[in-house]
Amino acid sequence: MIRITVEKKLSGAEGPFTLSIDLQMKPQSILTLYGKSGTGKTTLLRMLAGLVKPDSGSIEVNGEIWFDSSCGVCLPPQKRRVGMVFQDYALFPTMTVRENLLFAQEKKEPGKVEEMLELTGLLALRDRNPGSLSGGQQQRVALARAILRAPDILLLDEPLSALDQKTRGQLQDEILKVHHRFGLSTLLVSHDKQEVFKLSDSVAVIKNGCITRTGTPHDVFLDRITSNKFSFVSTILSIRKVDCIYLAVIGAGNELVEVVLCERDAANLKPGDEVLVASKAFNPIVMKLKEATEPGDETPPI
Amino acid sequence: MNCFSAIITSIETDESGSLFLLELDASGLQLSMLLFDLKPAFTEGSSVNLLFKETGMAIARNLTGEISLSNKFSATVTAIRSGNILADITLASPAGECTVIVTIRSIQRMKLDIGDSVTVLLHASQISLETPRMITEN
Repeated sequence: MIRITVEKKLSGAEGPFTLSIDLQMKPQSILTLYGKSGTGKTTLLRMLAGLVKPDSGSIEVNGEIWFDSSCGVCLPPQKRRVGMVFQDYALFPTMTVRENLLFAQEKKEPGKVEEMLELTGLLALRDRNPGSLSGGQQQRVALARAILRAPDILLLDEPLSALDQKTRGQLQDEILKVHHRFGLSTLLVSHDKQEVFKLSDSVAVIKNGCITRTGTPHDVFLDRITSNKFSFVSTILSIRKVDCIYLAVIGAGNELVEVVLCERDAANLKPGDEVLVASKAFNPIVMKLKEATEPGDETPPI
Repeated sequence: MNCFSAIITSIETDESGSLFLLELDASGLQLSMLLFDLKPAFTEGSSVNLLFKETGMAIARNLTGEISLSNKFSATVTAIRSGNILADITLASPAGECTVIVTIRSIQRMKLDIGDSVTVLLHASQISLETPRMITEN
């Protein structure tokens, strides 16, 4: 269990405020901090990493005290087993991908580096310098490097916000894969609701330095509990009238889906709105794909 | 999307406890619905919203005989908005207003007009549940 109870006075764009956090995190889960910029999310991550000292409080990670103002304990950053990934990749530009990963290890274990290169699909890029890689590839290296440190807690500070939608989706899958593979406790900062729903076991909403709500993404973001089996959160991209009904185009991962709306729905919805798309388990038709075709090549006759 | 307020009057479940048959009272209309994995927020006596899609229901006139559909209730046609192929029919029922989408051909075959009484047919598997909307800061 990770227990964080900290306070610190901060100066924000709208004047000074107190960051006052009381948060518990289950081991091996992904907890997302969700909130506007300037609410103290990054400061909280930096406190965990030991880069910022809280005014008071305590930080306990899996039974070990990292910080306790009441008895003067404050472990230096190098004594805290933390992996960090930021929006900018912070890789060493003159080192190859492999060297960047090797550098991160306290105890050099080239075998583990090779394993990580393979797991994250970086083997072919191992001898390239970061400057010659795409943003998504660089972020994959940064993620691999953070995990190689076998951290007690992985801190992801809006790691995907500079990437395009498709790469972001791939990296989200990557994060989930390594999260499950290594059973990491992950604290993610994000303000993308779709990302929160895809990645998080739980979410904490920060407002003006305080946590205002915690729970599963469904509990926190949907103001009601629904009974539907299939559901995802997405954005309406367009709505067009067809005969006397409406067809809405809605993003679903990297795909687009069309959903029929009626007059009353269309009157309340517009492109750009975030929506929950839901269907009962009874409705979808399931068809086996021909074995000869690659997954995704098949176009169902619907 | 159509929405009726209702109260759960009974909950029946299968042996494995994953499939549920709910009986509901929507302003006097007795309805039933099927769903999997009932969330703890839904218990007998709970107030709920029943959601069902306009394209997932049917209407009938002078319906006789037995039918496997679980939900049947009377309603009156209050408006018809026609396209070339489909029409959007507004219905007044004891549980409130609802809309059904049918083909123009069906309207012609049924000789349907404003003021007519119809029977609304709704599959138990086509109804979704939600808790009544709460006011939140989000």
